[in-house]
Order: sequence, then C-alpha cells, then structure tokens
Amino acid sequence: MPAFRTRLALLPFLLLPSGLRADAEIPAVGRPADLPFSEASGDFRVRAAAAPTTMEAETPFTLTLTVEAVAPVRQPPRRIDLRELPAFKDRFDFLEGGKDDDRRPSPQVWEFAYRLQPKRGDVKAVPGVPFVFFNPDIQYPRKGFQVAYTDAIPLTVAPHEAYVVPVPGPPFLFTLAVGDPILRRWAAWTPPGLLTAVLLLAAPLLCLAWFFGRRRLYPDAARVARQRRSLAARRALAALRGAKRLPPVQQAARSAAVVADYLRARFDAPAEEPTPVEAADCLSRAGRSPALAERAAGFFRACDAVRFAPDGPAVRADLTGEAAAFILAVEAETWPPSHS
Amino acid sequence: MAPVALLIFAVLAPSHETVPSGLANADVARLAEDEFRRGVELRGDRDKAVPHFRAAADYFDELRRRGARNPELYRNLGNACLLADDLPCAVLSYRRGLALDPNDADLQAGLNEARGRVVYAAPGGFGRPPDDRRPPWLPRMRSEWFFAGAAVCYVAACFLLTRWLMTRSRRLLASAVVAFVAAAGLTALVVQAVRSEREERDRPLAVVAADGVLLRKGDGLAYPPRYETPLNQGVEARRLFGRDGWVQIELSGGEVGWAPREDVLVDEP
Repeated sequence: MPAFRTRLALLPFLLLPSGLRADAEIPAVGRPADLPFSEASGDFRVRAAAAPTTMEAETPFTLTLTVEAVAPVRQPPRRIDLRELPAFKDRFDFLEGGKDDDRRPSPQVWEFAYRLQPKRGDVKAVPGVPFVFFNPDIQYPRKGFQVAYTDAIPLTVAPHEAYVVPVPGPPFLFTLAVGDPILRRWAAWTPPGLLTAVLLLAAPLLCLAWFFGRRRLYPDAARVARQRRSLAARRALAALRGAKRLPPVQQAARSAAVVADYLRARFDAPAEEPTPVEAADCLSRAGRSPALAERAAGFFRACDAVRFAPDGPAVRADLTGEAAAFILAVEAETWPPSHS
Repeated sequence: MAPVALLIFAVLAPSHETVPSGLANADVARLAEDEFRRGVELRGDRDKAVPHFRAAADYFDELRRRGARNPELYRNLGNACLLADDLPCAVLSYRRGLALDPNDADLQAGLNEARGRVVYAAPGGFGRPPDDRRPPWLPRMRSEWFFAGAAVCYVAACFLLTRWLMTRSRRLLASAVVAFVAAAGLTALVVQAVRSEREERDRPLAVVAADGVLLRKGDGLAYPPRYETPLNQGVEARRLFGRDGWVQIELSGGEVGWAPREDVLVDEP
C-alpha cells in the first residue's frame, strides 16, 4: 500500500518532460541564500571522510563527501562548490583534479571527491559540510529545504618545513648612514640670479675703475715701464762704447757678445751666442718686423766673417756702430713714439 | 623618558603602516636605525629580517615625507627597500639620491644592484635603462661647478683684459680671449643643465611597481596593448601625463604607453 501511494505521488512528476520536472517541483523561494544548493530533491544522509588526516601545511589530502538517498530520488545531487563556503575558503587551497574521482558506488549513493590542502599549520579540522537539498515530502514546500551537516573531521597539520634563507645582497647594502646628516634638507641648486647680475656688472666696473685709477695715480707709468724695459739697451750701448778701440777681431767678438746679451735680456734668446739664423728667429718670434730680423742675421753674419776669416778680416767694418744702430732700431720698433 | 616612550612604541607597534606624527624627526630616525640594525642581525633568516627592513624603510620614508632630503637618507631608504624586496622603492630612492649627488659611489652601486634584480620579459633594449659608458672614475660635473667655473673665467678675463690695456702685452690679450671663451662655454653648460633639470621636473621619474604591466594605447583596459612585452617591477621611465587613474609613461628607448596609476611609482613630493 505505501508503495502504491508513492507511485501515485510520483505520477504527475513522471508525466512531465524530464528537463522540467525538478524545476517545476523545487520552489525558488526558501532556498538558503548563504549556502550552495545541491539541486537534490528527495531525502538524503551525508557523511564526510578525509585521507590522510595527518599532514604538513600546504600538503594536499582528499575529502570525500558521501551522499546517500534514503527515499526515492526526485532529482540527484550535484557536486557543490566548497569554495563558496567561507569556512573552507579561509582554511584550504583547492586543487584541480578532485572531480575526476567522483564515484557512484550504488544507485542510491554519490561520492564527491575534493583535493584540498591546508593553508597554514593552525588548521585543526575539516569543518562540517552543509548539504542543502529539497525534501518534497514536507507538506509546506517553502519549508522543504533541508540542510544536513557532516561531522567535522579532526586534522593534525604540522607546520610546513621551512628552509632558512639568508637575505641576499652585497655588504654595502647592509650599511647605514646615521645621525644628523640624514635629517638635512638639501635644496635643489638654481643659478643665483642676483649674484649673476652683480658678477656681470661688478667685474668690468671694478676693472675699469682699476684701469682709470691707476692711470690717474701713475700718469707716467707707461714711460717708467718703457724706461725700465730700456735698461738692457742702455747697458748694451755703454758696453759697446769701450769696444771701439779694440782690434777688428776682438771688436767683432765683443759686439756680437753685447748684442747677444741684449737679445737674451729682451727676448729670451738662447743662453749661448746665437747663430745668425737663431737671432733672426728670436726676433720673429717676439713679433718684430722681418726687416729687423734680417738685420740681426746680417749683423751676426758680419761678425762671424771678421772673426773666422782664414786670412784675417778682409774689410774694416764698424761693427760696434752697426751693433749700436741695431739696438736703437729694436728699441724704436718696440716703443714707437706714438705710444708714449 | 623619551627612550622608554620609544621602547613602548616599538613594542606596541611592530608593524608600521603609518608613523605617528607626534614623534620628532630624530626619534623617527632612531627607530629606523634600530629596525635596520635588527634586520641586519637577523639577516641569516630572510623571513625574520625582511619585516624589520620593511619597517626601517617606512620610517625613512616618513622622514622624507616630512621634508628631509639628502643623499644619505635616500641611500638608507634605498638599501632598506632593496633588502625588504621592494625593488621599485629602491630604484626610486637611489635615483632621487643621485639627482642630488651624482658622484655618490654608494648610491650608484645600490642603483646598479637594484637594476641587476629587475627581470626583463624579453631580450633587447625594451624597458632597460640606457647604457652608461662613462668611466667610473670620471666625476659627473654638477651645475654649480659649471657656474663657479664660468664666474672665475669671466672675472679672470676681465682682469686680463684690463691688464692688457695697461701693458699691451699680446700674451695677456690671448689669455683674456681664452678666458672669455671658457666662460662662455661653461655658461652654455649651465644653461643646458638648468634646462635639463626643468625637463626632469616636468617629466618626473616613474618606476613600474608591479609585474606584468602592459603599456596600452589609451587610458583604460578597453584599449589594446601598444607593446606585447610586459614590464616588470623596477623598470624606469618618465611620466608624461596622468588622467583618471592612468599615467602615460615613456621608456628610455622612447616607447610611450599608458599604465594604471597604482602600478607605477612616480617621483612626486
């Protein structure tokens, strides 16, 4: 008789197209909003098992959720997503692959496998899994949603074995500047506008003041300087005066030596007596005219001709006079009358 | 009393997201140094040392926010950031310090170390800083040195010219001309340096602060990537513009693109 009654109760259900049966039977109202619904319709018992139950943190284990129908099944359970449960999401990482191990040991039993791993060493248990199903035998459909919890499964999770790793880096990274220097406030450098303006104007103004002040204080400064520079010429002319009475060879040697000394004092000529070419070069380097340089070369050539002629001096030349004239010509070109 | 307060503060607040404003700068510096030293003592265990380096970096950064600005502070901050695995912060700090003192060898060494840790997604020059071919022994000239040199040359040129007017010596005239030319050249370098600094102020340094950042053609995720190669933490660039949570940056090779603002550290006060 009960079996007949069950069959009668199932009759309208069996007459519906298969895709519509469950939707038509399971009401949308009354489902627990915070728990995943298994879509199962009937009456079920659930239990859970974990293997292994002793492990290190971040080591995977398998949680098997077994659902057993204890009454005719209107709609089979589907796999629920444990990630929707905060109690699981906070404690475990979910690995791929568990779904492949789902089994159906008998028509009334469903086994769902999950691959989990505890996130930390302080995870002590697998929380109870809430299995939500709809029981059509309950008279008020809105009250037909039932939640069956599995028992919590104690776990022994050891801390993850950790390797001590040093902080990498060269020695200078571990040094520190200490004290007040690190509190300083550097300002970015910008060109000082006022200082630049002062510098641009003050330097030439000061130089002009120096120039005109010196001219005012020492009006004869140029002449004094010229006289100072002419000291070498006066000494040379004085030395030539005594050489006029010497024999030609000695006179030539003396004149050449005096002019060489003069050139050395005025133009940094070589230490030893210059050759005609060296004398000309010396004057050219000093910026004197080519005629003056040629005149110096000619003078030294004439001196050499008198001093080193194999048969004695052929002509009697006034080499002291020529030397004096050359020195005066150099002075005249160095200090022209217009500059005085 | 102050050391006791510091000790209590250090015990009660081991992780420093923000530093209380009531602490004096000297106290913040002392806390930073203590944290850094604790990190150095624990350097054999990375997991234990890194939080202390992170805390030291936070304290040094607080000093920076309060206005301290000098190469030593930036070197400390860069070292602490690098040891705390904060590569973008380290690169930015070393670059800030080198902007103040380009000849600081420790800052340059730190920057080289940080750049060596940047992971580039592709071979080639994309995202890499330009090669510095300058010999390490050659000092980098600073604007103020150029300015001082120009001033000295200018004054010397004026002096030599005046002296030439007095003596008419050609050597003095030649020296005056050389000094004027040198002053002009150095002034040109000062102008160039000031222009460069202004340009850097307009286009501040930016450092990529996340891995896998793609430069996009526009300021939004709807725009496609401009380059396929992603940028990782520590890549240096210049910020051109900012708009609606996005910044346009230019890499050293001239590549330009948009990146989310939160993925880029910008050298802003």
